[in-house]
Amino acid sequence: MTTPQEHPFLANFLKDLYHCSDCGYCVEAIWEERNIDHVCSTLQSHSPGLAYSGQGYISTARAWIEGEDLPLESVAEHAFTCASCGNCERICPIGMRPMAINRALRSELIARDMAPNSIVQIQENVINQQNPAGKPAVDRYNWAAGQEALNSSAADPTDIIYLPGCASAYSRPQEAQATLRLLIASGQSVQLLADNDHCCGAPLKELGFITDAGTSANQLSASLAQRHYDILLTSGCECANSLADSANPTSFVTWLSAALNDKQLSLSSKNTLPHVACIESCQATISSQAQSAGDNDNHALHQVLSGLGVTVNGGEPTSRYALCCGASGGMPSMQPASSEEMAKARINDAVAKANSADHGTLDALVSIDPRCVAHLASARADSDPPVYGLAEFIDNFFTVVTEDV
Amino acid sequence: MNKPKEKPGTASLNSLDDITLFTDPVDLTSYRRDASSASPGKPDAVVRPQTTDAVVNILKHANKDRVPVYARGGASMYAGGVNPQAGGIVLDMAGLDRILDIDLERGIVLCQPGVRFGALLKALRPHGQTVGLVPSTAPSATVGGAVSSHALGTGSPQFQSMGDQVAGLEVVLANGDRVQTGSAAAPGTGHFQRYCIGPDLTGLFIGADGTLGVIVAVALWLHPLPAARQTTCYGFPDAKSIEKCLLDIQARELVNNIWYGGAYEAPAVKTRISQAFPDKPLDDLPSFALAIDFRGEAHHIEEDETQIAAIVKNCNGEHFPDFNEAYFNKLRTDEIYWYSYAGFFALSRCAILMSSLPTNKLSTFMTVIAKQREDYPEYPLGAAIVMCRRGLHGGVLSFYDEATQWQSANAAMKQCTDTLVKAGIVPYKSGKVSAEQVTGFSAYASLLQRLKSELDPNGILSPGDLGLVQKSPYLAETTP
Ligand SMILES: Cc1cc2nc3c(=O)[nH]c(=O)nc-3n(C[C@H](O)[C@H](O)[C@H](O)COP(=O)(O)OP(=O)(O)OC[C@H]3O[C@@H](n4cnc5c(N)ncnc54)[C@H](O)[C@@H]3O)c2cc1C
Repeated sequence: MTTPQEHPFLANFLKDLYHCSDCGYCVEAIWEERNIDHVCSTLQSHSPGLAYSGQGYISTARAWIEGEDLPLESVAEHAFTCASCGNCERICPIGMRPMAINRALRSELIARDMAPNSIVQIQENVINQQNPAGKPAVDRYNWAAGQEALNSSAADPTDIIYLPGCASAYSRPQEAQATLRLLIASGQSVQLLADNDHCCGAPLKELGFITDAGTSANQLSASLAQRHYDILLTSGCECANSLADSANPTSFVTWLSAALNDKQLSLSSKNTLPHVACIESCQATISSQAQSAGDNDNHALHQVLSGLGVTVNGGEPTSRYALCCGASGGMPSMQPASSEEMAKARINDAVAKANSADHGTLDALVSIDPRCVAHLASARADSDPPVYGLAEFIDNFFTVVTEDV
Repeated sequence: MNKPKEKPGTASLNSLDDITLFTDPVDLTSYRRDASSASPGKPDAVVRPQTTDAVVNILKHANKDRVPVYARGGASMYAGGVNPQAGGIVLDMAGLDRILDIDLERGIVLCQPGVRFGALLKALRPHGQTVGLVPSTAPSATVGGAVSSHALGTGSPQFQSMGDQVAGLEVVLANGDRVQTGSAAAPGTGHFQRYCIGPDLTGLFIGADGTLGVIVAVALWLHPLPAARQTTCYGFPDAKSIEKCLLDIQARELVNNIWYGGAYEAPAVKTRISQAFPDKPLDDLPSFALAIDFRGEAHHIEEDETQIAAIVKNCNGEHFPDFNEAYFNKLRTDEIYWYSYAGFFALSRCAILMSSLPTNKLSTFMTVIAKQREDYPEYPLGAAIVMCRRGLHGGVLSFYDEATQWQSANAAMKQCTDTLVKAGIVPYKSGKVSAEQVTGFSAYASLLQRLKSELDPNGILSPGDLGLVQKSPYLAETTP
């Protein structure tokens, strides 16, 4: 038996480790009143082993703190596989923090050189190429080739600086392009950081590389500090979270909602209004501190689309407990097959719900998070509805009414 | 002397079909315990069967090798039933989670034991149906676990206890035999009557904590969804008054439209009110609150409420709308279900001891609680009183820090159980936490042991639960 003092990395979690009531909600909870079908996507699509659940991370951390001789390779496999969607924390009736505990485990494993290779690769990618996928840093703004916003001078003031985030920039350039088009159509001046842009560190933070994450975030903040802008707008949900304290970013959906309300932008539908399902972003839910459903960007997406006359989720609200699509945390690199399964499960679930509610065929799946969009799009079958980011969706189904602007 | 037999490996389980097997030490850490303060165990393997045949094969295998088997559902019980204190296999039944049949004509839902109540309620709603008893851990608790620990609470005023809602079971015995109980014992007949053919074998497995067999299917009675819900609270000056009021409500059977009824003592009343209304004076608050969640037809609720209000008045009580607003109705509308779980407010785990008492012993129960508070001031204590059709359930919830106070908190709770038993109040969910007391009920314990020896001669099923003799399965058979 060791004492908690010997494990300072868990020192902030003693209340959680010794007061969890083992009610099991972070393992599985089916709760119709709260729109909860399941809690943990890892248990649903990867393995039913409880060590992958919130309760599992609490049990493992407690065994560790009590000096049990656990095989660290296995601890690492479990800790880094988690998709970090945060459902286990959101559902806990007594406020325990299993996701944060898992992040502490990850950091400790990293400090002991026990992080799996695929995870270390992500760290190296961010350090060397400024993006988690390891795509060449110089290609970051390929999507914006020819755009005037690319050549802006740091000295010029601007209404908006648009940060697409790594997922948009590399994996979903359509979303970045469509976003930029809409921003410009609203009549606002837009700049891109171009060579000075890079990963904000969010993927590293999520995986437990806290120091490296801080370095990345500081570098980006330093680039931003040289600019003169009113709004820092980002497509990436995890970027928005990561920059929240230092740069107060605005998400694209928040901006769009305001632009439509203020009549800076008017849209008219190209054809019949579509029926869509919103795929909630876990990162957007994590960012919301309040307990109610109506306070985050997933909800804002629902509102914006409904406001445009689109049938969303057959009228059902968005869920605060939607299952992760498998794009986040260590899941895609640790367990690519399960990560794909999760995406398929999300798509199938959305289609099944649309069918059962008898609202006709689903025209599209829409998400505010480009990371989810890219991941879902790569997993979808030909027969599934197409997957869009919000800006792409607008681009595909609406035209900007210029005379109103 | 018995020579320790070599611990049979779990590797051969690998050859079984339709199972997921976990033997990695990190995987096993999550299967050591339930929500109780009972000591955890260390399983050698966790097996998650996907079919009933797989359950049969696992039990045959375990029986042959004398490996202990602890069935586990949601592991949310507070009696230690699932804690594998003798090692061996944890049988994770949560994978058997299919609803097999919703028979509206017979009024029965047949489901596998791993179905969570949340899933069951959701599946029944479109049919306008529900089940009678729903533990307050409904989102995560399994039907099999609730039956094996005869759950109670929400539904108890109308239907007493989980066991009373079971129309029949299918059980796998330790040797792998499959048995159907109730009308389904007759081949091809199915579940429609529990009390038929002969003695009620269904009852053998209800509340048995998995010691006599592993439940693989449960038939529950269906009930129509209530048309209306409404909460009301009343305040009382002392325990005797609320006791008299509850006796009257029960005697007049004004319980048919009560989904949940709970009594709360002064500290809980004070805390909830002061949190919700910081400016209100606390001096003249009632010493007890009775909170009632009605469900049924609106006009029936109205009639019952009028009669209950008259009884309340007659027992020196009065309406207590502040408590309803500050606490009870809020839990109800948020569908928090955890009506009596003080840990919800303390944001903490607690050692829980559940007991059954006749309603006229409510004040005795409160005296025991007061004494316990006096004797063990270091453990803040909550009392939860839950109304049944007849009688009450009394919960004692003791808050402790598991890092520093675990053992001593358990000793305090043991003393409390002993005192309650002496006062004619009996343990309700026994599992391992009240195992010692069960053995004290000698004639009952001896019959239980004889049944156990017949049904599970090698003692592989949940050794340690209910005080049943824990033959160490890893030892050679004892020579007389
Ligand atoms: C916060 C909180 C509130 C609670 N509120 C209530 C309440 O209101 N009412 C109430 O009754 N309880 C309550 N409980 C206790 C518990 O949640 C319920 O009794 C629940 O029904 C147990 O179900 P489970 O699936 O978690 O069972 P488990 O804990 O997994 O198992 C319970 C027992 O059944 C046995 N078992 C499980 N499955 C099988 C099977 N298939 N075959 C044979 N044996 C089996 C286990 O070995 C164990 O002995 C509460 C617990 C907590 C933590």
